This record gives sequence, structure tokens and C-alpha cells, in this order.
Amino acid sequence: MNDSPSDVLSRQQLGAASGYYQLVPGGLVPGDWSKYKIPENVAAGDGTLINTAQCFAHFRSTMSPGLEAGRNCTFSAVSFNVEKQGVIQIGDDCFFSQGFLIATQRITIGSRVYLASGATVVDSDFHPLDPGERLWDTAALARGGQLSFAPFRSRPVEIGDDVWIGFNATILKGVSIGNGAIIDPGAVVSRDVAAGARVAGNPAVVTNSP
Amino acid sequence: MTRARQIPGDWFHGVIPENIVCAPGSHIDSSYNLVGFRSQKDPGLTLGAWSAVFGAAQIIVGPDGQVTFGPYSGITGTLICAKSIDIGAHCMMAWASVVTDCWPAADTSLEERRAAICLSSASPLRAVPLAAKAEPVVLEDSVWIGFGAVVLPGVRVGRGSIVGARTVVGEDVPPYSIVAGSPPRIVGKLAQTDTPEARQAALARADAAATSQPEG
Repeated sequence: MNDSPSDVLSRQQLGAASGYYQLVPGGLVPGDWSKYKIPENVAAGDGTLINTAQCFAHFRSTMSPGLEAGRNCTFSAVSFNVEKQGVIQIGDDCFFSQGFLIATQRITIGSRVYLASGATVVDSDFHPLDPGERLWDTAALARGGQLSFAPFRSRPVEIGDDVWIGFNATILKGVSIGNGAIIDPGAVVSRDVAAGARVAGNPAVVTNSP
Repeated sequence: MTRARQIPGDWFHGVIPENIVCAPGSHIDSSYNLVGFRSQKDPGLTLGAWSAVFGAAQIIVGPDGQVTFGPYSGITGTLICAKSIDIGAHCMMAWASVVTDCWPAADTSLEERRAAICLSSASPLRAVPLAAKAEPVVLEDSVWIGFGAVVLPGVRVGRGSIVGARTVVGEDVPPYSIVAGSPPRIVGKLAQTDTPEARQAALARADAAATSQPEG
């Protein structure tokens, strides 16, 4: 998309009205209240807008890129929490509002995905399950990062196109969600969801006919 | 309509839009609570006497949306309003709770959802998709929405009721009920003790406390 100078100016003016600005690597969001900058290792297609760099407060990826988004996405105060080796890939025309994406390894999201307020997608357990190993983790946490953490399980998450993820829903590690699925508000998804399925509950179960 | 005004000492640089009516004693922590407020109705938001918007609350309202809060109601969760959300008096909405009049995902076809999300991304204002399918939500007096709970479009939560933590309600809740679980069920009933007399006593006590201590 080639912008004439007047197109760019009008988009800035509209940005001032809407609070949304083009996601630019290494850039600032104009008038942002957050102290954070958009990281350099972030790539976004034209029309992908963001309203605060606070989205990257817990973005620690060293990968190139650590976050890659297509065109015309809307990121409204969503948290991109990415660990050093982590990558998040997002398609086009996605709408993410106040959700949480927490990636240790990989979260891949298709196009036209709606992530509603409070929805959370994680690709790991965050901590080991074994109680003895968790002793080590709690000691490491108490020391504020001076000690390494015990290994924990992570499995990439894949979300297809046209998936709508409801308010306060949770997608757990290793889950694949097929195209067009609907995740009801509050659902906790720990198993794959077939294309076109609608799931609800904790643990989430299918509620529509095949 | 009133004038657009700033909150003294606000950490965020925004303003309270002129179509937000604030009754005496009502409180808004920060203009950031209203950063998603886009209503063009007059008024778009009415805050009753001594109602409060605080913490991480987000009042997200589309151009045609109208929200009302009754007296002494407080919110720290998220409201998403495309058409109409009415909250009665003495209500509480806890952290991470969501009350919305537009989440039509289940009643819409794949094609409709696809078209709606692309329509949103075609405008720089990036409105919440599918606002046109909104169904008004009503919280009657003395309702308590627990943390992480979700109240879906078209729902009326009856007087005095409690929606338990992390509970999702998509159907009307009868008065004086406790709803919890997945799927949601009535797990308890409440006595109808929020009488006019009880209210008078509570407000008298609050007034007495206010006058016996310095403001602030």
C-alpha cells in the first residue's frame, strides 16, 4: 500500500482520535503512557495498529522476528509475553483486545481471529510439575533471576483462521484449533478443537453437532 | 451535555468526554478507564450518585452505545457496550469481570464473522466487530458480578443476585440467587434483606462516617 503524504497525515490524525497507530519496529506509539518502546525484532504488515507499547512490557524474545503480524490487525492493550526463544506469528485482520499471549516456544495464529478481553493463550506449563523440581523454582524466583529455573514443558499452539476466542477463555499448551472454531467465554481448552467446532466449559467440550 | 474535562492529578493524558454525566459523588479513577469510550449518544454514560469506576476498569462503548450506572455501584471490570447496558444501584463488578451486550459468535455464520472482522479492520477506528447484533444487558439493583465472571448479551441479572467468580452466564438470572459453575447453575438463594429500611440505615451510616472524618 503506497501512501501519499496526505494519506499518512490523515491516518495520524485518525490515530490521534482513535488512539491506534501503525505498529512500527523500534518505534514509539505517539502520546503513549507506557515507558516501553516497540521492540526492534517485531514485524507487522501495513494497517496493523496498536494503541500502547505496554503490550511489550514482558517481551523478551531474541528471535528475528519475535513477533510477526500480517496486515490490518488491531492490537488493543494485548500482552505479548514472549521468552527469549519464543516466537508469535499472527495472520491478517485479527482483532485482539486486552488478551494475553504467553509464548516460550511458538504461538501461531491465523487470519481474522478475534481474541476477546481477558482471553489467554499459553504454550507452556511455566513451571515443572514435579514437587522437588518446584523447590528449585521457588528458590530461583526468590532470588529474582540470579538462578536458572528448572526445565518445564512447552508445546506450540496453533490457531487457525476465523477462530473467535471468547472473554476470559484459556487456551493451554499444545492445542491446535481448526479454522472457524468458536471458543465460548470462560472455556479452558486443553485438547485440540476441530475446524468448525464450538467448545465451552472447563475442561472444554464440544457443544455443537458435528 | 457537559464539557469535556480532565481529572485533577490524572496519570493519563485523556479527558472525560462531554457526553458523560457524573452525578454528585461519582468517581472515575482515570481517563484511561474511558480510553475505549466512543459513544456519540447524549448521554453515552451516566454515573449515578456515589458510583465509581476504578482500577483497571475499561468502559468500552461504541458510537451507538449507552451505559447507565445506578447510585453506589462500583466497577473494576470491563464493560463492552454496542447498544445498551444498564446497571442498577448498589452493584459491584469485580476485577477481570466482563459484561457485554455484543458477543454474537455463536449465532453468526462463519461468513458473517469473517465480514464483521474485516469491516472493523477497514476503519482506523477499529470498532469491536459485530456491534450490530447487540442485545441489551441489565443488572438489577444489588447485583454482584464476581471476579473473572462473564455476563453475555441479552441477560438480565435479577435483583440481589451473585454471579460467582469465573462464572459465565448466558441466560437470565433470577433475583436473590447465587449462580456458579460450568455450566452455570443456581447453587444458593439469598434472603431479601436489601429493603428500603436497610438502605436508609446503610446510607446514614456512610454519611455519618463521611462527616466525622476529613475529606480525602
